[in-house]
Amino acid sequence: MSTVLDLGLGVAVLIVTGLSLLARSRLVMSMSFLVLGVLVAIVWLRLSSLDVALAEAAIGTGLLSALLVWLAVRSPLPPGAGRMETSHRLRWLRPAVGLVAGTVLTVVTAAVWVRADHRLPAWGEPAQAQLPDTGVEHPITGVLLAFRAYDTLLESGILMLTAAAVLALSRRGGLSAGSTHQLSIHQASAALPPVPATLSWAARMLTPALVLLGLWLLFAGSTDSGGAFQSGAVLAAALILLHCAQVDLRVFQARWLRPLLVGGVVVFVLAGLVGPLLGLPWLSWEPEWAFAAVLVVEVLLTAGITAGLYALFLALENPEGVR
Amino acid sequence: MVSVDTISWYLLVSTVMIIFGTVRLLLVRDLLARLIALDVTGIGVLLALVALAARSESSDPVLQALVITGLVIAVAFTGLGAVLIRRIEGLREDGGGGDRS
Repeated sequence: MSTVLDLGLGVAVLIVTGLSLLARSRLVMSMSFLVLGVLVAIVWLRLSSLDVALAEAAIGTGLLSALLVWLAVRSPLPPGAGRMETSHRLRWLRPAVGLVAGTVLTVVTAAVWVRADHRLPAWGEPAQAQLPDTGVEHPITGVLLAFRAYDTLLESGILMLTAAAVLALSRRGGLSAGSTHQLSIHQASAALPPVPATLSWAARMLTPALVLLGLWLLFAGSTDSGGAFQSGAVLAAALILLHCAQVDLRVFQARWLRPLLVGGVVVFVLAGLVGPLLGLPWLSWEPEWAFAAVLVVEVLLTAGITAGLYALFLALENPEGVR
Repeated sequence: MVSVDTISWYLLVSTVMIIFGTVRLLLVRDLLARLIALDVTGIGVLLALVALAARSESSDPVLQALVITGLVIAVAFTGLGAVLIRRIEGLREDGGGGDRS
């Protein structure tokens, strides 16, 4: 029974992968990618990874596809969409070489996977044994914010820098423009088409529920599935919905977006520096106040992730040079 | 606890996704198609990691945390890529209709 379900899921994933790779229209590609996200979230559930499924559903499917579909809708048929790079003499040569090389590599790798002797990684037992010292009960949150805190810091740094790069691209005249205290993002809002009243109404109705869900994911993250990234994605989705319903968020965008964006990373670095002051290694916390440190960092990190993801969407709407 | 056959099956699916995503990434011209091919490759890698995490009794938290990190990085580079594509195509439209089709 379970095997049939897994087989079907795998085949569906492969078909949708093929569609999103081989389609000629940008809309079909983006929509297939959206469907792929949904299918893959179900696969994560089948593989008993609830946290990853939540993250995939919120970040991968929700936000990523919002970005890609937006791009596809704005310019559905670009020059040379979906066409392979062809040389002038032998048009079939490159696709054929690609197909043959891909097939050979797949067969070889598949043979390796089938014959491999599976062994469990050696970190399982020590990670389980030291989990109580991290101050949280949920192992994934513990790994993200205690064992691999350095990775998580760099990761939130990447998100912050991406948002900064994107905001720099979206302004008129770069960072040193006259109106530095205001993002020029909202200038495009006049050009948006009128939204149906249903969307505006639904967005306003949904926002409290989404905010509640986001906060629940955030605070549940210490004992159960959830965490900063899932929560940030849900909150960013709520902001994007409000923005699409043309609710006025200009004060928030101008005043709060950038402090929130930077705040998470700065506080994470500061919390990391407390360790060396007390004679501990960098980015390590004592078990007594570990929970407080992890909670503060996680709340601010969530705010930073929300701001970063929202900035990505906003910048897509009004990049420089697009009429 | 997931059976070994299921894990092998998902590992095979992930291999196909990684390899054909990369092939498409190398061969296609359209920028959005390249970005999506890169994302499909990324999902393939994450699928392999989650399948490997599912081998232990309760799914391995270290690998799952790595996958969540990967998802966030994927959305970061896709967002930057999408904005750059919008910008490049906007410039191309502005630049005297210089479409290279």
